[in-house]
Amino acid sequence: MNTQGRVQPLLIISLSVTLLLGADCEETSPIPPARDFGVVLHDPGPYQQSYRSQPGPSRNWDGTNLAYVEMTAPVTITGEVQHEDGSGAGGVCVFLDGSGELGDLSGIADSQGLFAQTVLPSTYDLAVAPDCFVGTSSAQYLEQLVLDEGAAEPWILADVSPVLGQVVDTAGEAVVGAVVSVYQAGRPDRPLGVTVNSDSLGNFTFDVPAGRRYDIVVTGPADGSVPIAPIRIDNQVLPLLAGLIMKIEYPVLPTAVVLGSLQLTGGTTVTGRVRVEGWVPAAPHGPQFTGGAFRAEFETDADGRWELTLPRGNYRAKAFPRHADRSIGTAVQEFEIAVGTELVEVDLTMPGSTIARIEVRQSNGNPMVGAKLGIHMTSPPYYSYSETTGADGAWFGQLIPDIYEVEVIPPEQIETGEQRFARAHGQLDLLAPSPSPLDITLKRSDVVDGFLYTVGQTGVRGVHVLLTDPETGEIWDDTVTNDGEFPGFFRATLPR
Amino acid sequence: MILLAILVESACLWIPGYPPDKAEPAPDPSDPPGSSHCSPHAGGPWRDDPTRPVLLEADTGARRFHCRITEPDLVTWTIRPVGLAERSDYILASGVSRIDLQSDALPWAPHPYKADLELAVRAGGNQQITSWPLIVLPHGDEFFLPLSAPLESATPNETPDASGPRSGE
Repeated sequence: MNTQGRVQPLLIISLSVTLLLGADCEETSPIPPARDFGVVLHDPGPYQQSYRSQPGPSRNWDGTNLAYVEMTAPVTITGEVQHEDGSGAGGVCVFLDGSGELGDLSGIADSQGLFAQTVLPSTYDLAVAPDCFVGTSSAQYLEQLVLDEGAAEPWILADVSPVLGQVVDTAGEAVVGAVVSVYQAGRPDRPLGVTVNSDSLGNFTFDVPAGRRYDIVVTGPADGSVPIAPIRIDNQVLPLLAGLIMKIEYPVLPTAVVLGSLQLTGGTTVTGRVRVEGWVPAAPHGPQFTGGAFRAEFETDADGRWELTLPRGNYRAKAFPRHADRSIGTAVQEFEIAVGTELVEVDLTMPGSTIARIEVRQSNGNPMVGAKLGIHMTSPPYYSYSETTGADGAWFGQLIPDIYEVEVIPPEQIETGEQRFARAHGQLDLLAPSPSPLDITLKRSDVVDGFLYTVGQTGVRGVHVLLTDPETGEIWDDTVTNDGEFPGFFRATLPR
Repeated sequence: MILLAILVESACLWIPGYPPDKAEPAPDPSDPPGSSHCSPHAGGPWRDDPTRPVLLEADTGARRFHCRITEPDLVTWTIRPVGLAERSDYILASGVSRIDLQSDALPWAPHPYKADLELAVRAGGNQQITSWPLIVLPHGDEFFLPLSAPLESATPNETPDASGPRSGE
């Protein structure tokens, strides 16, 4: 055995002989059947300084030999963010969008505008954002750049020009506190990170590269304190010619005060997070406003109360329980602001929770004691919990009514010669009228020994290996490659 | 050759010392109690000038944050909005080693904002904090798309158009 991590001889031998390792040789059980598995690799690199995480294609384990997993060697790319005059633009966020989630990388250019990143050679979309999208400086998008080892062409930030605007209503009154955001024209998925608020006169100003087309979206703020629905000005060349001011004009819509409260079924008030969403229909005047969704989210006051002024429309208020409080559920209330309505009271009553039961059995039918359960909501607020099965192989307790994805992580088995179980998954439906217990039986599983290698058949040490169902992507097991005497080797469990 | 023949005959090749213990492999020395091997790579909180902001776009769907957590006593995932007035921190998960961060689980705002995702792990008598600096981007169509379930009283002329009503130049 080569302790330097180079195991070419081992690979050659393994092609010609059947290879069983260590204690496996002593077993008299039949050879496990071959099967496919997926793999996802997370390599923290030295001090987590390098990106080498990557998905892998589906692999096959023949039931006896080592399962070999090759890791693509990453490269280091360098780039420079520059202004149009060639000077470096420091502190700029650079986002790389590659194939798959593990291709989403990012970094911040240094004070000279220099940027370096370890990536897999591939094609990336880049977003170069001077304020990291959070401010008033316009980000720029660069598409389909091939990034390979070495220096890339400089990424140029175009010079910007000021745009002046004003938000008013059709009565000529200033709309104060409106939020003005700028998007690349026709690309609602590409905000430029330019966000400003209208001032006491309804005025606003921002800077964008001149002569390009933009979509401008004007809305109320996140807390709902300005009762306006969104207006979008499409495909607008900015800045306007001859220094014209962009005018955003809202119709004067009837509004009503909404007094809300959040309480438990018994009437006890509670604090919480409230989300209000509604649709405000178009108005005959104010042609820029063609209808839109009003959205707001806020915390209740300490007494569970909240207050908003809303334009006419149809709304839904939703309140989420705190994560720690599984004794209550999510509250939903729909209401309407009709013409002529001045006051609407909305009482959000949070219902009780549901008793859930999850039973886990081993493949032979015996209860699986000490299995860890990852219990994940599938709708907002998407809370996740962890529980453990008891002596009867079951867990029961309170949960917020929802549909849950449940992951069973069997405990390590310490009995010599006994296989561990791969993870299993199920779905728990607590929205059904009479929820049934979730019963999960673990599949008979086999221990697989594998070897993760890269260029030169060198074992890669310390990599987090997730072995997955190649069809669903669900995790069967996770492990870490050996960081000591046998670099790159790993041991995991696969279901039959 | 004789040795090789024996090995082939028995369908067994023994590599001395590997595996170290079939039933209970020795723990990896780089993997002490607590969290490690996080994906995406942790970047620290915004207050510490992080180097790796994570972009959360509304149309990306769930973004998975995953760590290997060993021998934990307590695990908590918390989202902390940065610069959103009067917004609280929210605990999203406890005990689990991964969360799938959905955009509609996050505090809503009509503009991009910063947040810290924090994983706190208490293990082996130590408290370990791992942070990811997030940038949450809105989607321009979310202001013009129907709600998750259409409201009943919307008339045909008022029914939200999935393509989004747009005003002209």
